[in-house]
This record gives sequence, C-alpha cells and structure tokens, in this order.
Amino acid sequence: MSEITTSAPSTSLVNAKWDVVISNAIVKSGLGFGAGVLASVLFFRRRAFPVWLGLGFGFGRAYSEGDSIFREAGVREVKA
Amino acid sequence: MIRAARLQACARQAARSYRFQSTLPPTPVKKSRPVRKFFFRLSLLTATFYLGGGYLATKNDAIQDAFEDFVPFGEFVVSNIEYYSYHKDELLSPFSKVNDSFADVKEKLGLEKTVPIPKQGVQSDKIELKKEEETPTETAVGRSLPLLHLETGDQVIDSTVNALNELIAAMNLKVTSLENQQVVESLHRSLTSLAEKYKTFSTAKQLEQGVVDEQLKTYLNQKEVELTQEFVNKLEEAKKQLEERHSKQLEGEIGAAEKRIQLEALNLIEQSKLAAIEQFNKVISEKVDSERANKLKDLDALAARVSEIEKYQLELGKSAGLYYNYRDIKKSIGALQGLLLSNESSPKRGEELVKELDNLKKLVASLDNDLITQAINALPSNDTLLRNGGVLTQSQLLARWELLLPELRSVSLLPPNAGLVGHISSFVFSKLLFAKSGKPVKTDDELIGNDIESVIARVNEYLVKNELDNAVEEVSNMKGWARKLADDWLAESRRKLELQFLVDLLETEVDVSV
Repeated sequence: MSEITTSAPSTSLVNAKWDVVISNAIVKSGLGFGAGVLASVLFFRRRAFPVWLGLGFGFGRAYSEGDSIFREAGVREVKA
Repeated sequence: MIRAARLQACARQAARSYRFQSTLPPTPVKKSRPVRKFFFRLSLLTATFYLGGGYLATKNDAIQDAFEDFVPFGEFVVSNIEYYSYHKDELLSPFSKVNDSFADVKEKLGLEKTVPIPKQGVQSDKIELKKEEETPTETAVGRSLPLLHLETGDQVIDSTVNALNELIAAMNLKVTSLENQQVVESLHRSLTSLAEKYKTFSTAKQLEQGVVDEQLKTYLNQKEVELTQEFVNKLEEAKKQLEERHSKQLEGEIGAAEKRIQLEALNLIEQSKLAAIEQFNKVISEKVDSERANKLKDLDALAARVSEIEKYQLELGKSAGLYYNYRDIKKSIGALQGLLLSNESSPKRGEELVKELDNLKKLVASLDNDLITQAINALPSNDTLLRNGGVLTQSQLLARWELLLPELRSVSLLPPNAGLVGHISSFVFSKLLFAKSGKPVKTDDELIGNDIESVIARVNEYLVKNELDNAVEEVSNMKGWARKLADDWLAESRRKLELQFLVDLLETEVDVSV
C-alpha cells in the first residue's frame, strides 16, 4: 500500500509547510546565534549584544523564508 | 422768367452747335486686325497642307504612311479624299440623293399612276407653238404628214403599219417637209401592193391545204378501222388466258383449304380426348384425397398441437433461463449493495467488491441493454478499487471527517494569500471559535450561514443522517485551503457515491427491462 500512495494526504498539506518553516527557523536562528557568539568572543570581549543581534538576524531570515513558503514561493535553495 | 427763357435758348443753341461738331464724319482709320489675319492665314495654310498632303498621300504610299502616322487627323483626311475621288458622281451632283428620295416618296404615294399624261399630244402641242414663234416661214402652218391607213387582217403587216405610223407621228413632231410627205406616200403605195400580193398568195395556199386535208382524213379513217379490229382480237385472247390461269389457281387453293380443315378437325378431337382424361384423373385424385383426409384428419390435428406445445416449451425454457439470470443479477446487486452499505471494515473489502462487480458484469452481458452496458463501463476500474481498498464505510467516512475538522478550523480564518503571520494568527484565533451544531440555514451572503463552522455543522448533520450526497456537495463548495485539505476525503466519498448510484441504476433498469 505504501508503495502505491505516492503523494502526501491532502489533510497534511499545511502541516508539512509548518514543518519546513519551523525547521528552517531553528536552523537560521541557530546560525545567527552561532555567528553572534563567535563575534562576541573574537571582537567584543565577550559582550552579550552581538549574540542577540545574530539571533535577531537569524529569526528575521527565518521569518522571511517562512512567509515565502506559505505564499507558495518555496525556500531559497543554497548550494553548499 | 425772361432771364430763364433766354438762358434756356442759349443753352439749346450751344447744344446744337456742339452736336453739329460731334456729328462730323470721322476720318476713316484703317484698322489692322492682326488676330483675324493670323487665324485666316493659319486656316488657309492648314487647309492647303491637309489637302496637299492628302492628295500626295493618295499618289505615293511612303507619303501616305508618314502622313497617317505623324499628322493629326491624317488618316481621316486621306480616307475622305480617297472616298470622294472614288465617288466623284456623288460629289458633283449633290442633289441626286434628294431627287431619289423624292421619287421614292412619289412612288409610294402612287402619284405617277394617277396622273397619266399622253406624251405625244402634250409635246407636239408645245413644239407647234414653238415653231410658230421661231420659224414661221420655213414650214406650212398646221401641215403634217398623213398617217398610213391599211388594214389587211394580218398581224405582221398590221404591226409594221402601226410602227410606221408611230414613226410618222414622231417625225410630225419635228419638221414636216414636202419631201417627207412624198416619201410617206410612196411608202404607202408599196405597202398596199405588198398587202395585195400577200393576200393572193395566202388564198392559193389555203386551197392547197384543203385538198391535202381531205386526203389525210380518208387515210386516217382506214387506219382507225384496222387498228380497232386488231385490238379487239388481242383483247379476247388475253381474256381467255386470264380465265384459264384463274381457274387453275382456284382449284389448287380449294384443295389446300380442304386439307387444312381436316387436320384442324383431327387436332380438335385429340384435344377434347386429352381434356376428358385429365378431368377424369382429377376427379379420382380428389376422391382419394378426401377419403384419406377423413381417415387421417386426427393425425394432422395432433401434429399441429405437438408443434404448438413445442413452441410453448421453448418459450417457457427461455423465460425460465431469463428468470434464473434475473434472479442471479438481483442477487449480485443485493450483495453489492450489502457491501457498499455494510459498516464492517475489513482488509479484504476491496477484493470482495471487485469479485462481486466482475460477477455482475458477466451476468449483465447477456441482457444486451445499452443503458446497462453504459453503466457498467462507467464503474470505477478494478485497479482503483483495489488500490484504495474498496470503498469506505459510513463510520470510516465520519471518522475521517472528524480528523479533518481541526485542520479545517485552523485554516478557516486565513486571509487570501496568507503569509507566516496570517497562518500563525489564523491558527491562534481559530482556537477561539465556537462550534455550531444542528443545521444552520444557508444564505446568499458570504458570511452568514456560509462560514466554516456552519458548513462543518451541516456536513456533520448530513453524515449522521446518511445523506452522503448532500455532505459531498457542501464540502465541494468550500474554498481556499479548506477545500484543498478536504480533497482526499472528497475523493473517497465521491467514489462511494458513484458506486452506489450506478448499482441503484442497474437495479432499476434490470427491474424495468426483465
């Protein structure tokens, strides 16, 4: 049965999008946080504000991508 | 007053003197008219050019070609000149056409016939008058040549006399001299002597002719008598010959006719004999047949009955077969309906359904009904049925609907083309919605009775009441994300509805047709 049903059930359409958005948000905010920590240690004598700034950038990026996901534009794919 | 009168007189005198001066004859000044002169010369030159050119063209072919090619109206001029050179008569007598036409008119009116004027009389009168006026001394007054008076009774001589008379009359119109008169008299004399001679000659000839006529007559009479005698003899001979030949022919014909009549009589006798024999045979066979019919009558009736019974039996067999078939079909349909309506969910549901459908298809194939075959063709294929595990039961449908509800609610408040914030807010605020129950009334308004809670309440109601068609209609009328989320549920419900409808249709059709 599982091999025949190829497409996802229609009930989970929105949930699938939510999954992508949330995971994307975690990744992006995590990246921002990491960048903030690194900057704080290297350049700002372990002050706190670069961490908050990085986190904010991360969330901002996650928000904009989530928006585009819900508007059917999808995630911007970055080739590593 | 007096002054005024004087003044007037003076004025009059002055005017007179002035007029006298003004009426002096003006010295004749010869006006040179250059324009007129020019045109005159131009036309003269043109005329000479055209006439000369045309004339030369008629004489020389090379000049004619050049003239026609390079001079305007050259061809026209040349053709006209040629025409008039060929028809000089018409050019010279321009009134000939008029005269002709006048003569035509006269002829048509018949004027010439109605006014006959004797030419001689008129002309002679005129000439006499002229002679009196012009030369009264040369000829005797009123003298004319005497006409010849001679009637011989002979045509030739009379006609010559008449001709001479006309000649004399013609001469009379001109000069009539004494000399002429003598000539005429001598002519008269000679003519009379000629006539006499002719007369004597003709009488002698007549006498001779009378004698010859008499001789000829007697000779002819003799000849006639001889010829008639000879003719009568020949006629009688021919008559005899004809009679002989005719009698011979008659005898031969009579003999032939007798033979023919005898033969015919013989034939007739033979024919009547044959007819009698035939009739006799017929009577005998009829008698034999009737005898046999009397005896074997019951056997025929028996055979008819047997064949009838055979027919009945066949019909009965057919109807029995039909009835069996019908019963099988009903059974199969009943089984299908049971499967569709049953609430027992089992993993083998799809396979059972497909098996039953195949069975039904086989049974129905023998009916050869268009509607039934169409309905069978419209059924969902076995493949799709097997893939989806047949159809869902009512309770399964209801359960899936219940599972779908929170999703529907969470997307119910989404604005069009919602982004992340829209989704989050819709998700949050949908938790605050109150669930409706019962059957909210539908309206044309977009919000009242058509919001997601009303739709959900109505669908719940329909599903509970087992009105799947209405539920499907409600769900398929939803819009946006909600409609997309309900897609799978809709497909399942539709498949079930389709099957139900087609099986119902088959049942009714089978009931009606069998």
